[in-house]
Amino acid sequence: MPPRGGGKKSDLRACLVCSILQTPADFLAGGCPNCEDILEMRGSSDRVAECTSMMYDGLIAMVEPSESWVARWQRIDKKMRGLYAVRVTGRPPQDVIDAIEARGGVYRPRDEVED
Amino acid sequence: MSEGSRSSSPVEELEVKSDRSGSVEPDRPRLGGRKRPRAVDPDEEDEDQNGAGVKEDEEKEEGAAAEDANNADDDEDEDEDEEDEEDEDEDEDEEDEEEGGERQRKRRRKHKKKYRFLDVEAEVDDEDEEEDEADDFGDVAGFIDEVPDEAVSQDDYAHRRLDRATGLNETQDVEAIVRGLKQRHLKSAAAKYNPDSDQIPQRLLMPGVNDPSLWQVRVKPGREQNVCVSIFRKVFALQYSANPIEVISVFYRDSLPGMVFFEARTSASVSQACQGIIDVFVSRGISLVPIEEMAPLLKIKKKDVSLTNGMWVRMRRGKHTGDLAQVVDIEQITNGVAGIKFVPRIDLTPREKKKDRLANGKGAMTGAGSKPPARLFSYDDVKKVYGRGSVRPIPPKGYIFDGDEYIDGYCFKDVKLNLLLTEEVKPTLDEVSRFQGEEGSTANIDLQAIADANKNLNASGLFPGDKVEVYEGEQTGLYGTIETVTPEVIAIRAEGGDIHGQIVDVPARSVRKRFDIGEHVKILAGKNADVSGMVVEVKGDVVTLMSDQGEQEIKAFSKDVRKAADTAGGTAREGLYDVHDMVMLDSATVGVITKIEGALLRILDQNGTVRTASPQQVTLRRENRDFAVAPDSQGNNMRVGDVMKEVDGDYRQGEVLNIFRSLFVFLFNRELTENHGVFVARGSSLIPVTPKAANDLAKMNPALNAQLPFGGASLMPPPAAGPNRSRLINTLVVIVKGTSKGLMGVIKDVVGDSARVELATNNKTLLISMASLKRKDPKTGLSYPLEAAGGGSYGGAVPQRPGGGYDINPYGGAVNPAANGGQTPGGFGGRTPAARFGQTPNPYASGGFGGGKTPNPYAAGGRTPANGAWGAGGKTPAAGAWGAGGKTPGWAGGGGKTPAHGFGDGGKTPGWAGAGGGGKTPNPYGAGMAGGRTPAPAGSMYGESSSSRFGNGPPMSAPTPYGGPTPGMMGAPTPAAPSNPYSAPTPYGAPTPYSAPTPFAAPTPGAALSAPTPGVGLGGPTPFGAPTPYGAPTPYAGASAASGPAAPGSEAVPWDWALDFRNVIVEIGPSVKPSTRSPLHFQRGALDGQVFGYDDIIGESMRCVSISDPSTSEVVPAEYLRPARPTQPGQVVVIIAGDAKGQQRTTSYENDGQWMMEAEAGDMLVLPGESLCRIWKA
Repeated sequence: MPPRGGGKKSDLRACLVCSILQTPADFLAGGCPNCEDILEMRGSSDRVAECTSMMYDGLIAMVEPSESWVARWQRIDKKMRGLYAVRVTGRPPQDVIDAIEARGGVYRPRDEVED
Repeated sequence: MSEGSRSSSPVEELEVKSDRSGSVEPDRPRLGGRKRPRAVDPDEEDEDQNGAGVKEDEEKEEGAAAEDANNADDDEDEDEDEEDEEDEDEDEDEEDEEEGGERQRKRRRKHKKKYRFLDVEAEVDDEDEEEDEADDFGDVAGFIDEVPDEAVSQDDYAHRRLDRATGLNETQDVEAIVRGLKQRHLKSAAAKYNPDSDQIPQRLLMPGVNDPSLWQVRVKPGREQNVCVSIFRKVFALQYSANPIEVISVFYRDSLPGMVFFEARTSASVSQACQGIIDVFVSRGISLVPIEEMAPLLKIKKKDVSLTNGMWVRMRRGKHTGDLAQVVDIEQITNGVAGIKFVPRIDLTPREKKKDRLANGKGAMTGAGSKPPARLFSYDDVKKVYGRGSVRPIPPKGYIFDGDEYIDGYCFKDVKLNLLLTEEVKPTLDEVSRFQGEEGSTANIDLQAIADANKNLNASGLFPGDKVEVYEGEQTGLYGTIETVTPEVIAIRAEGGDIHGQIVDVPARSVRKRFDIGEHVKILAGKNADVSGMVVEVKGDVVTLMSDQGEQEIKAFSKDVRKAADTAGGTAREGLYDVHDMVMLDSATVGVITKIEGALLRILDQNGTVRTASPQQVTLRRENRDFAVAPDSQGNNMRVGDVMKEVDGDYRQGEVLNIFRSLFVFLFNRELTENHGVFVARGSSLIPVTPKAANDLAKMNPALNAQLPFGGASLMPPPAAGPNRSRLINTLVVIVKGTSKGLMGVIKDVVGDSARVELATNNKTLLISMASLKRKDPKTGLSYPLEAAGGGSYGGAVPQRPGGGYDINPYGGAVNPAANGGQTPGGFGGRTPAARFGQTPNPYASGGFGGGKTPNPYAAGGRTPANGAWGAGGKTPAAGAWGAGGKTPGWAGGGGKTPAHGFGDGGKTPGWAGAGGGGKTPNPYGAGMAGGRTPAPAGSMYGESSSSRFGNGPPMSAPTPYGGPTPGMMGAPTPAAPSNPYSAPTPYGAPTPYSAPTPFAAPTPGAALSAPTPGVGLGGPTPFGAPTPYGAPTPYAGASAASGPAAPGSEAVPWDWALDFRNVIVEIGPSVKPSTRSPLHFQRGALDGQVFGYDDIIGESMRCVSISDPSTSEVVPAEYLRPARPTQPGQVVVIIAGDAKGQQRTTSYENDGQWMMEAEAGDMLVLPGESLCRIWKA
């Protein structure tokens, strides 16, 4: 599934949860390929604006997430192929964080450096 | 549930089928029955309708039934495993088709039809109403319950399917179906959030050896993203080709422009991937990233642009460039937009007519050129200029003008982040207060705004020990003292409250410094940097302080304020300059800094004018405090640090701070208020507050000046007393280091730590460090360390002597171990006796008594006697000795002090000290000397030195030993002189414990030295027997006495000659001092004609001891004293006038009032009796 967009940086937005990069239109039409069930962005441009960010740093074209150390490091090894941001500025709404935690996950901000 | 549904769905389907194989009719009641629960649930109907609406086949009962079934399946769909399930459903569909042997239809159609009964189709249809699906559970239950009740025939089922398929065909076109399918797939792909990988700590995710490598490839800067995306597409495109590209990922970082990183197992894959991609510079190499650098590549954090509400930023473009703005809205931060608030710059004096401007569509704000001033938006003003229509009010009190929103006068605007400058904003207090409205006034500062201004403050302004207050966060209100500081977090020790004394970590940005009113603080940064003052008010983050200097209120951010260390001064050191530094104002004007006010120096110049200058306007004058000297009103020198007072005017007094041109003296007195206690005066109008001894007594001693050079042959010019001339001048030295090592020379001048040495070899003069020089003893050829001429005048004199013996053993120095040992074992650790002896005859001098030095001078003389007199034979000894002696006294004179030094150093016997005190000029050497010397012969110098000392210090027990010998010697030699000097000593032995002298008998000097030892051995008291030795002199004395008063003062001899000597025999007579105011005769002549010896000088008087009756002593002014002339051969005399002044000799014979003295063979000296004075004690 080759991504659309990506020509210009300003075209893309990054998911605040998984950091995947898509055009706002893609987010609107299909939500986040990885976390749509908790973000529920499909069809809601407000939600897309809330849960994605255009402030990101670096881009990763992830071809084989399962094999990739980069993916593991970025915690996207279980995610879809696609373009990801290295860092994303912003925080998703609290309900998203709650939803993640309800599923036993840990929300890790995508704009912080862990030790 | 997914599992269940999966397994059950076929069953369900079968059931449904069987159900529907029955007639259509029976369905109705069932449907009706099913409607009951729906009635219960209001949502139900909606859903039903919706579903029907979507399907647009509501008219059919079957449709409704099918829909119900779909709904039930939809519920299952909700499950997390939808995707799988759906796949399965599809499979089932296909299977059904085949199994059922249904009519051949398009697969799509079948699908559709099938979906009627399974979930998939329903899902498509219900896509829009997913949200409500959860409510359908009730229906499902009802449906399932009812199914078994009714039988449905296969026929019916087939019919219904046909009908419905037809309906579908009518209502849904292929496109819609495709869209629906696509959406379904999208949903199924996206739905699941997988939390797995978020649990592991990142440190466990470090790359390992089995992970693919990272390869760095250069690309055109700015094209990184395109490259990544292109490669991604390429890899995708080729993934199923014959040659898939085995690149696992590609990434770049914004912080690393021009680089793209590939994750791949081989570099070949990378180059394959890069092939044909533009902007990739494969030719520059594909370099492997070391495994330890992999994680950092991803860790790099772009400079954080974390905007927070209330933060200050600056605008980057447009007419507001550089203007301060405040962030008020960060909701849109993920969109790269922030809401800011700023003071607008609306041009209220447009040049064009507003109509034109509006007409050409450019709006009102197209001001080119100069920026309009920043002013708060005023509706009235704007309305006036731009017309009512241009401004649109928005309730409650906002306005829209030219597309921007204005509230309370501020412009609120959403701007892109790249138009904002978020770093190094540093709002000044001025700006912030202007932002608050009234220009320049800090009166109504919005504290919150100021606090916000400091949000950019990191811990850099905080230091351990600062008192802080936490103003936000959980610990709000906590006071404490900073314990440790890290960039983000500081630890503070809480003060007060429940956690008093505990250490609490708080974010650095949540604290502000706290100051108490009255505290003395200093401003660290900002335009008032370095101002110090007292805190008079603290409001939030703004500290108001009363400047120490300007007496004005200054407001500063607390982050810029620190507690000042100097609570008293209020003068902070400003870089290069310090208070009381002397600075040059111009080439002819200097001043002293009286005060430093912020960046300004207040300076008092040499003319008494106070000036204010910035540090840039002045230059620091070369530090000359150590050298600056000026004459005071009395001609004495004054130096920096002296306390002086004015002799006229205000009679101010103060400590000398600095001296300019030896003329202008800057003084400081903290009690004066004017100019902070600094004032300037002329040196000639100052006088010391406390009378001060002249700096250099030597200068006051004419005798010293005149006679410094001793030592028979090598007379030297008197040392210059100037401060720059070292007493080392004319010292024979040898160079022991450097290129000239080994060369000998004479010091001609001393410059700092270096000496100008005139070489003996080639008459060159070199400047050589003193450290490289050693004193050379011209007699023995041995070298000694060059000693600093620091001591007293004495020391000074000494070094100059060629004899050299002197400084070797400056006073204390233990010259002669033997001798010393004898006397004061401890005292003389000094040098090696052997050396002494060997080298210089001085043993005595040196050895003995501090006086040891004294001997030096004598050394010359000393020797003479030794060699000549004694050694050579009786004949000359006297002469020689005396000659030498003659000098000695001179020396002694100089030594006036010396003795003191010597003794001091030697620290041996008080007695000596006493003698020293006597000091000044009495010629110790008198008779004693002679005696001393005599013995010396053996030891050469010793005799002399020792003698002299002894003579001096009659009281001294220690000396005595020497004295002992000396006298003995003296007496002995004289008589025996020619024949055997040594035998002479014997007599000593007799009279005194000095039997010790016997050693003298020993021919060797060493022996001689040892001799004293015994004397010492005798012990303190015994030595005192020493007096006896003195008694020895008596003979001389006697002699002298016998000789009777010498011709009263010879004209050649100054009236105060006696001050230059010690230990000489004098007789009292009428004053010889010209124009004296004293009576002509001392004690009305009662003592006239009596003969005294003295070695104690009190001012200009001597403590004279009667020779005939040692118990009688009298203090007699020098002017009444005249030298006791030699009366017979063999007497030891000192020469008191003429070139040989100070030399000590022994008279040889008299001829017509002239005495011939011989120090050594061939060294004959003939002098008139008037120039000679007998030495008192040897």
